[in-house]
Amino acid sequence: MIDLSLLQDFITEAGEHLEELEASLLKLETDPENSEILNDIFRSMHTIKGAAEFIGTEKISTLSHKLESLLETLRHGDKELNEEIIDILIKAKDRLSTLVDDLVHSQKEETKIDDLIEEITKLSNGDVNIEENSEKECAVEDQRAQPEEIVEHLEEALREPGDEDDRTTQTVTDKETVLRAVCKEINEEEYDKELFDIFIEQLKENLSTLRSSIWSVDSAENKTEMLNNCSDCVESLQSSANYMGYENLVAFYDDWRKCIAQALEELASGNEVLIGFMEENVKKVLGFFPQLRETDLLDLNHNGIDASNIKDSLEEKPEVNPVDEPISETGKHTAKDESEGTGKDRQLRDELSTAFDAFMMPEHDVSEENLQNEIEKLLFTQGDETCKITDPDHDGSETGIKPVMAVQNTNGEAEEGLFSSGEGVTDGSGSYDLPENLAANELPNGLHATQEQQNDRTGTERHLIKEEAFPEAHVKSVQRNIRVDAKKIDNLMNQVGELVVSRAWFSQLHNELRELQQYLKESYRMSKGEVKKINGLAFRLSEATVSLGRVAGELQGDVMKIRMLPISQLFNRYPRLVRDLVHNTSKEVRLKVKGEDTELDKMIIEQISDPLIHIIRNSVDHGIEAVEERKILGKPDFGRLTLEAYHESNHVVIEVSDDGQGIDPDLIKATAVEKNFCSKAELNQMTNREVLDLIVKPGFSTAAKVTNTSGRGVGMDVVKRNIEKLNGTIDIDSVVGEGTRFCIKIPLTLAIIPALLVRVGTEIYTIPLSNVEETIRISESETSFLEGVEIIRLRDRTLPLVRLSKEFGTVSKALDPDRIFVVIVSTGTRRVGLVVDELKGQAEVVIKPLVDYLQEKSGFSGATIIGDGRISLILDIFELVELSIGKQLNTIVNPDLIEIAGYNPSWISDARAEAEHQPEHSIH
Amino acid sequence: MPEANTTVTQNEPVKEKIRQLVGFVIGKEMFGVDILMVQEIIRSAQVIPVPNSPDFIEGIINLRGSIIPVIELRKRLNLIKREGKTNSNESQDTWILILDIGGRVTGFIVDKVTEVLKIGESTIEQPPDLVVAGLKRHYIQGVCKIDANLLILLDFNNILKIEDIKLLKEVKSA
Repeated sequence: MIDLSLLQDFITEAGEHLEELEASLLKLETDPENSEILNDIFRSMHTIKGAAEFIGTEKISTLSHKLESLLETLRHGDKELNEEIIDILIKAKDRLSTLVDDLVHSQKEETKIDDLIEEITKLSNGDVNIEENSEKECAVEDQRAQPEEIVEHLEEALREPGDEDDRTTQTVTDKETVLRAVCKEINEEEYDKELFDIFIEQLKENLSTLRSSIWSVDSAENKTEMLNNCSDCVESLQSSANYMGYENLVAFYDDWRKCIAQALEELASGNEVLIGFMEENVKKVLGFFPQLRETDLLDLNHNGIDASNIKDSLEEKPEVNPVDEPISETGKHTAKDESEGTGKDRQLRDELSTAFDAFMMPEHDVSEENLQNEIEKLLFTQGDETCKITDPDHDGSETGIKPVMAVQNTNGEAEEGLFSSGEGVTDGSGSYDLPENLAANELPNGLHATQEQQNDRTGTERHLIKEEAFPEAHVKSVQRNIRVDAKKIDNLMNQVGELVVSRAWFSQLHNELRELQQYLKESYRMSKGEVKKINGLAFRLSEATVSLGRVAGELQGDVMKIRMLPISQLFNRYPRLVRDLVHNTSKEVRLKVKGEDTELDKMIIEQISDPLIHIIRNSVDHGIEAVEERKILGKPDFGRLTLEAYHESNHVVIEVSDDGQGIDPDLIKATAVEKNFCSKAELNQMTNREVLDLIVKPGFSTAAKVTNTSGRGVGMDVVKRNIEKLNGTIDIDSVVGEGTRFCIKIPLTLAIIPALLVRVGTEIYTIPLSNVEETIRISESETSFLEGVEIIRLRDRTLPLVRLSKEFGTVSKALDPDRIFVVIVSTGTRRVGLVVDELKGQAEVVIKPLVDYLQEKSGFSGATIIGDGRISLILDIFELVELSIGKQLNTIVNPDLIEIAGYNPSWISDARAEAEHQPEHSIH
Repeated sequence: MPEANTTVTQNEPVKEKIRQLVGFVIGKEMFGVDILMVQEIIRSAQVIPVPNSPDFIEGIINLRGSIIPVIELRKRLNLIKREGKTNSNESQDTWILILDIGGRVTGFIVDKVTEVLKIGESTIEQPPDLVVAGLKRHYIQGVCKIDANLLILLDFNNILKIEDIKLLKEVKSA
């Protein structure tokens, strides 16, 4: 059962730890000797396991538990760290991430882990713990009976579920035969020690779930559902038994499921259903596995294990157990009471579950992770202790037995608490005595007492490890961070945005007041003294505006900082990527990360991740040469890949550079001509950088064949688009033989941008300043038409013009029709002049999204509210240019005429090439 | 709020389940929309046109810091143009119904918002198969008679069907 209320926290926490884990694993790979890293990994894994167990995510806890034990053997030096182990650790980490993702999406762990478990088990096979081994030996020591017998017994049990209990008490030998038979079966298989442990673990968990389901069947409104749950549990048990190859056990489970199905049928037809057989079957299964009582006795007690099982285990070695007698008694009670009919049973069960709930309470309240761990640790100790009580013969092999013995002898009180609690539980299921259930409530206290003292005295390895891990975990939780819903911060950001707008409003009011003052002075010839009053007011208003502006500015900065995260969050993902890329290739790459403390808006970090992955992939895949080749070239064996981030005014610059072979401009030129991107004549005019820019064109790839990592020519185009979406730019710099450098420049935040306000017709539009290259004023006579496209020549280059008034279908209202304002904007690859009526100035604007149906393909990226409360649409330059070029292309009758006329402005052929190759992009 | 000025009619049996509708007028037709959908009603707002949008989209308005699209309901439903009035002075006496349609807050321009009506569930009839007042059946949830008049309950979920709007937009820009 997964505790949904805490799931969200668990997901975040697990995610963080997994990230940490990955970083450490990669470090470990380069530095396998470093025990500090190994300890880090162990701690992360331990924390994940602890949290997973607490929350009830079965697979994560099983897997992490496995990994933990594997790591422990590594820590102890029992096993040499090798590549295989690291591979499996990384694989397991991935699987854990997938499981956490599953939780995010469906609140269920859907991914299978069996294969990994098996692999891990294989790996750690040689390191079977001596302690556990002896346990196992003792468990299978005296098997004699024939497997057929079990089936017989089981059938018998299924036939007469009511009589089952009598049999438990009367025919202990009978039960022992069953037990032995299964033991034999278990022993016959050449089972794997670790695998068996997992099996037991699963068994334990399923049985607990099953039992709680059984209890709630009576009270639950929807019995069918509960029975279905039971059926699922049994099925899961069956499959694990099947996995282990326990045929008889599988047959048993099969029969069990049939019974449930029968019960379900009866339920469907409206009959009363007796579910007594469920309880009995659970007990029986418990009886099959003596291991359960040893390692999980108390744990199962929590889940309400029955008295007879404890009794059985205690009776085996009565001489060591001083409290044997009362427990045996209660065991008999159990048998008697339970055979007394289901009516009473039901009532009592309800009572019991209430008591049980109360009993569970203290444990649930323990929210602190380490406390939970203590309990876990305690359970371990408890297991050892019980084991010792029941099997004094094999104590020789166990570590720390004597100290525990000492604890037993000296801590009479704690002991009492312990056993009285045991009694409480047994009575709980046996005679349902309420006062005794209260004793059960005291259990945790008793346990703590025992545990504390044991901590003082015992020096077992396990304890030491746990203690080592604690202070670390503690320090982390004390960190002064709070987790806040990102939405809240977005809202805050919005409000601050409004405040910034209000500030602009105030300064406008101030200006209006100044104008009024001027007007009064001139029109009414007011005396100086009279004007002074207004003057004073205007001055004070200006003061107030400045003060408001200061506060608003600071607030804006601070709120923006809340969203800022160090870019290390992003950079930390890439060592793994690089490792995977060069894994099994003849390349070696060293990744160097600089400036990981640089802070960046969280949203940007998320959106820049994929483009960076692509660039890094390109560098490793195409840029950096194989080791052999590098040797010949006289370069160091290791390819160097550098990730660097730094601030540059209002931007963050991210650089990815490698010392690989660089991008060959001739190859690009050849491909460009071959794939019809541009003509040879154009290429000759281009600078090297312009040639390099060709690689971000859609469909452009120089790769001779498509490999599984690259070659489709989509990547860089997508990279560019993504970066442009963030109002960023990308620069490519490459020297053949020396390397390539990608330089990405992104504004610090997305929410507030500096912009140029322009007027077109009666409306004010906003152009992001990041797109604006320059503004010029030209006379109408400087423009000319080229096949329906208006152009100007600017510094020996042809620049197409887009008249926004025409584009927006409004009437131009220019101040002076002969002198037009042109805002030259750049989309990175294309420059266009936008003709506007008036430049209104620069402002910081808050981007507000438009509804999707208005925003899509409209040429607008959003809207903003400007100083006077009016709305101004924000131009999406990239889209706008695409749209208008598309429109203009439609009007071009015969584009070939352009070339005939001797003109060959690059943008037209660009656009044409795009129109031909990517019609979906340019024509709408 | 204009709602405060509206009168309330009570002409239905007491026991019946009652729906409250906001009544409004376009041309000569009476329309109604469930009151729970209505977020507010505003009289004047500066509507900023959005270039390259379907013509029934009048533009966007600034509603206390949020940017909300405004749809000219008359054009959306392809109703006959208002007589004797031009677009220029129209904005002076428009009413904008701000509706929350499945989380999308959208303004609809109507000629006049009349009153809040209380109508028994049973008096609402399925729309006749024939077209009512030149309206597609698709946009009508039901009709009911009030005195001699017919009130048309509009289905705003279909009116603001995003796929349709996007299609219309594509048709326009093609």
